[in-house]
Amino acid sequence: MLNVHDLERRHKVYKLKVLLPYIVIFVSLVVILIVILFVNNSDMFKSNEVKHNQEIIQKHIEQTKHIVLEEVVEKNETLQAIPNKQELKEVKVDETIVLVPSLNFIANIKHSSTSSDVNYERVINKKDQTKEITKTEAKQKIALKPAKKEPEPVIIEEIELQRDNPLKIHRQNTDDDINHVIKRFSKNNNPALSLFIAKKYYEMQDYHQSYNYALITNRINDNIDSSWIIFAKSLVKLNRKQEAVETLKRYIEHSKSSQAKTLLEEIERGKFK
Amino acid sequence: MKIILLVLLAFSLHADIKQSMLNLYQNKKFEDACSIGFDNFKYHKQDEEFVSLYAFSCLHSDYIDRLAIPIAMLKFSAEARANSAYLSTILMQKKLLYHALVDSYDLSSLKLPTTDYVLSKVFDFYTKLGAHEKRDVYLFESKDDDKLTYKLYLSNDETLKKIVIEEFYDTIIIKKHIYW
Repeated sequence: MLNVHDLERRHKVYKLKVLLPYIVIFVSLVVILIVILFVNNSDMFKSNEVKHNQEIIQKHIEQTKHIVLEEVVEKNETLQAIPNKQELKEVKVDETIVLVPSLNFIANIKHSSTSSDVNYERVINKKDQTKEITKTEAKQKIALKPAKKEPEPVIIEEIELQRDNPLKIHRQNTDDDINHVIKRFSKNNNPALSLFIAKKYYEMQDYHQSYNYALITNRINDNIDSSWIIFAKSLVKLNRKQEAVETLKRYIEHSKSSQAKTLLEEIERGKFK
Repeated sequence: MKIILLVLLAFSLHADIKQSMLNLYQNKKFEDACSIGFDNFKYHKQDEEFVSLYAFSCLHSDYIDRLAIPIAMLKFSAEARANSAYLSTILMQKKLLYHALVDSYDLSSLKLPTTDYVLSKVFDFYTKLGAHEKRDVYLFESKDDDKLTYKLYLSNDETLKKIVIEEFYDTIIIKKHIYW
């Protein structure tokens, strides 16, 4: 009787023996391919490639050098032929570079601020008041007799007197100062003096007078930034916002003043009232 | 919850300081804005808007030496880099002018960029003088406005010599700048 199991086992062994060389060849080919791919990507081969590339690039550079040298020689010849062009270039080089600050960050801060609707002047006034209070407190601590002259009563007097006669303000020092400066201005027509007067009147909230003196200053010298700004501010305070905007726009076109631009922006946004 | 509150508080304080500095700057209280910025600089040194505002406040209040740190910090945006270059030019011009006035250092061979700042204008006038004998006072007339003149001299303080630049408009002094 035939031993079937034994025959089957021997048949399998025989089949394996037949197929083994094919399998070995296939596996070795796959391994060789993988090794070749790996080695191609490795640094050793890369460096060789780089060397090869460098050689190519050097060849290119040498070729281009020759070309550039030829071009330079040609250019030199043409420059010698036309010396005026060279002089023009030198003149251009002599011009100094003017650096200009970039103040866009101010607008960014304005946009990013949460309390953007708050009037600046009010905030400052409040802060000034608190500062004054702290200062007076400090004075009280240092000296036993505090000076309570500064803060409020002056303003009240000023408002009352303005109602009666806007030209006469009974703050002794300022009034004397302004009269004295007006006399000096009438003698020599100095724009610095008229600007000073305009500023003082603006501080004293006499916007008609500040407008007048700023206008006079602008007529004498139309290149003074602060004079145009006082002029525009006075117009806004006199409820002539549109005129202020138009004036500022015209002035910005003429001078490109950053201060004027900021003021115009504030007026248009309604921050300056 | 406490952490969130603390973060919100810190954020509001941060915004508040920047806003108050801006208010002072816009009201031309440059010295106050500069001193607030100086006190709070370490908390906001990563904020380029804050650093720029601080730098320009100090520039307009003639605290030029305080610009050194903002110059180094302003580098992340194009605007910051432009301002850094602008400020560093002014700082360099101040140092060179001081060296020239005190030690008679010759600046005539220098060609630097210029700015619209008063120190740069005076620096340009001074360099254009070329090699010259030392003077006690220099007077320069503005090209744009005949009536505008600049007076440059050294003040002899007890400990330190200081550069003084006085701006005159038709013989009336408008502003006095002191640098050292």
